Formats: sequence, structure tokens, C-alpha cells
Amino acid sequence: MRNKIEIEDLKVHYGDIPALNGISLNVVENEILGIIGPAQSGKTTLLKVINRTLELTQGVTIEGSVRLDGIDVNSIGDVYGLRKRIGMVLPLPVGLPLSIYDNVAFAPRTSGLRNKAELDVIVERCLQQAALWDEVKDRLDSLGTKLSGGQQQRLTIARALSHQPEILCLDEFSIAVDPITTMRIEEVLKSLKNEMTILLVTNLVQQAKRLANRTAFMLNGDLVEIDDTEVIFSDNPTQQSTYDYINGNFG
Amino acid sequence: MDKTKLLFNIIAVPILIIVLTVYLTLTFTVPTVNSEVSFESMNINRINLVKVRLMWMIPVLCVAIIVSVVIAFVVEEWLSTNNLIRRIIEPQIIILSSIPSIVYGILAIYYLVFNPISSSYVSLAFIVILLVVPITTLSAQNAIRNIDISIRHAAYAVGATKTKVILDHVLPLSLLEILGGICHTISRTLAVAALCILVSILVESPISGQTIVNIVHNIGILLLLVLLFSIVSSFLRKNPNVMY
Repeated sequence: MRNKIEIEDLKVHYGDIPALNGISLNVVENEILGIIGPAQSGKTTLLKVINRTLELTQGVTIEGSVRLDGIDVNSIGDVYGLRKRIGMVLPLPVGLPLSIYDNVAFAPRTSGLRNKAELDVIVERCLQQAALWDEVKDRLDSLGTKLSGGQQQRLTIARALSHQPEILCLDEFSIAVDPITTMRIEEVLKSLKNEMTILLVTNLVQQAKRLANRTAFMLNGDLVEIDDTEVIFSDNPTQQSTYDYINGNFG
Repeated sequence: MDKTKLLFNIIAVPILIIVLTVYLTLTFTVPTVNSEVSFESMNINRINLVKVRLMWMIPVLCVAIIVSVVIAFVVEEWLSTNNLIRRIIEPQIIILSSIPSIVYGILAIYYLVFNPISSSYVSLAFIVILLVVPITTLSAQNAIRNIDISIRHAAYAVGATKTKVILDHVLPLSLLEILGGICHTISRTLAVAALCILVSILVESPISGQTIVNIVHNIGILLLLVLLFSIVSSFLRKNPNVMY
């Protein structure tokens, strides 16, 4: 399997405050990489560096390299094209101020797709993948922002899937979703693994254990350990702090 | 920001604007020595002249509002907080917007009522611009800033361009609050116009009873519009997201 993402000596500072202290890791194509760690460990920052949305935050300095399919993302001139290749689900649900249909159709339309029949198919597929179709199929013209928190989060997932990204970054996607729906989405993610590479940032260590092929443990901006999920969740991970975090001894 | 730049921002640019206004006023004046003599010789009614000139300011008002909104979007969306142009423009907008309307009102009365012939349309246009642009720009900037950053990030995350994010999300979400600011500005401008007409009655003499009735009627309509725009403005600003 080839590496989809190669991160080398990545350092990020918010002003003078370090967020990532020179981490290096590879993400293999079509794997689910779980990223766990306590708050302020740099997990979200890592995802934002990959799709270059961190550039939208002022006062950030980024050093090191992030290569996507061997090409440094910072050398890619068409940043919007890059972002279309990477789906992103943020921790809190963000319904765009559009109808449910338009929320999902937003990305394909941005890419130039105007055919209504094709858009209908995409909207239905994505809403089904996000386990939302049955709840909203009769009111697709309603505002997305009027949905409940959990439904909005699933709408966000549907939107992220709508442009068929090569990489899907999920940042605490289940924080506002009930456990049953979470399980349904997890099943979808397992099936999506064949089509895309998935980076799963989660505070629910058991979720990483259920889904991830490999798991990375981050702490205070450092990559403490990355290994197969079975190894990380065994009684003998390489680092003691990994064991302590997973077993609730801190964090 | 060092002290020199600070001093420049606080003092120099407003002074430059005022100097420019005065310069243009003097440059574009109609060469008449005594306005009272001209009134009599040209048989011009001062009140009508004031009203005509105020009507001519409506297009200026519209253009100034559009320009203000464009400035707000350019400053907020395209210029970073460290950008030199933004660091120069923003303090000027804040300083000029904090000047009470009555100051502009007095300026307008001076040119429009007491020197209606010798003053030019350009000078009046500058007064309208000074009255409208800072407040409208500031309120539009606030409206744009109030849009949750996560909405922008969510749109950018699916590959939307800056223009698309602005047109599809930022503008629709901030529109009502921007309109509230525009209504507030129009209200202020109409109040200044009413003041100018009122003063022109007091200055003009003799004046017929019928003319007074007509003018009071005009002022009444203007003040009603001022009230209406103020109410609409406060409603829109308190409920910026009624559409969503």
C-alpha cells in the first residue's frame, strides 16, 4: 500500500504558542487512521494543515512539509481544488444557511455540476450514507440550520461526502450525535474505507479501537506513538503514556 | 503601531479630508461676490434652491452607501488585520463615524442655506459622503464580523472560493444587519436635510403663509421618514438573522 499523506517534521505555532512540535507520520491509502489524545494536543491543527484551512487563521506559522500523493500541499496553487479532494467534518455541527438539499449540493455545484438529476442522486446518496435520508427526505427544502444538533452534524458529514473526496477528515464527528446513529455512521465509514482514506480524530478511544487500522497518540503537540490499533490498545504499547491515556490514568 | 503612525492615523487623515473638502469647495464655487445680491437679481427662492440641491444629493447618498458596503467587504474579507491599508483606513472610519451628525448638519447649513449659490454640488456631495460612508462602513464591518467563522470554514472546507463564500454565505447572513446600518445612515441624512430646510425658512423673509404650510408639510414628511428608518434600523440590527 502506498502512502497517501506524508507528514515530515511539521511544526505549527499560533503566534508564540506552539501547537505541533515537529511531528512526522504517514497515512496509508485506504486506511482509517485514528488520532487520539487529550485537548490541546494538536489533533485538529494537524487536520487543518492537511487541507490548508489553517491558513484562514491569522498569526499562524507552519514549518515542515505535508505531501499529498507525493506533492507538497503548500506548493499546490489551486488551494480550492486541494480542499475539494479532502472532506472535512468539524466537531460542532455547522449547517450552512441554505436548505438541506443545497447544503449537500453546495460542493458539487461549486465544482460546476448543474444537472438536477445528477445532483438529486448525489444528495440522496450522501444523506443515506450520513444516516439522515429517512428523517429529511420529505423536507429537503427546509433550512439546514433548523435541524437538531445531531441532524446538523450528519448533514455536515453528508456535505463532506458530497464531493467524493479522496481523504475524509473527521474531527470529533460524533460529539453531537446519539450512540445509535454514531454506530450507523461508523458502519458507513468502514465501507467508505475502500473508496477513500480516513483520518479520524476522536476523544472516544473506543471509537478509534473499533474503526481505525492504525492509531496515533498525540500529547501536547508531540506525536507520542503511532502503530497498529491492536498494538496501541494492547497492554504493551511502546510508550507508557499511551497506555496511561487509553486506560484513563490521565487526560 | 508606533507613535508617528498613530499620530498620522488620528490627526492627519481627517485633517486632509477636511482640507480637501474646503479646497474643492473654493475651487468649484460659482464666482459671485454677494449671495444676497444674486438672490434678488436672479429672482431665486432660497428654499426652493435648498430643496433642489437636497434632491440632487439623493444619487450621491445611494452611491456613497454602495461604496461604503464595498469598502467594508474589501477591508474585512481581503485585507488582513496586519495590512497597512487596513491599518490606515480603519482608524479613520472609526474617528469619522464618531463625529456627531450635528457637525455635518452645521456644515450643510452653512453651505446649503447661507451660501447656496456660492457653494458647489461637490462640496455638498463631500458632506454627504462624510456623513454616510464612515457609519455605513462601520456598521457593515460589524455585520460581517458577526458571521460565525465556522460557517466560512465549513464552506472553505468543501472547496468554495472566497467569492463564493462571500456571495453565498457572508452576504446573505449579514445583509439584514447591513441594511439596518444603511437605514440608520439614511435616517441621519434625512434629519440633516430636515434641519437644513427648517433653517432655510428661518433665514428667508418675507415668506408667505402658503409656503410655510408647504415647508412644514415637507419637514413633517422628512421627520416621519427619519422615525420610520430608525425603527426599521433598530429592528434589523436586533434581529439580524430573522431569515435564518
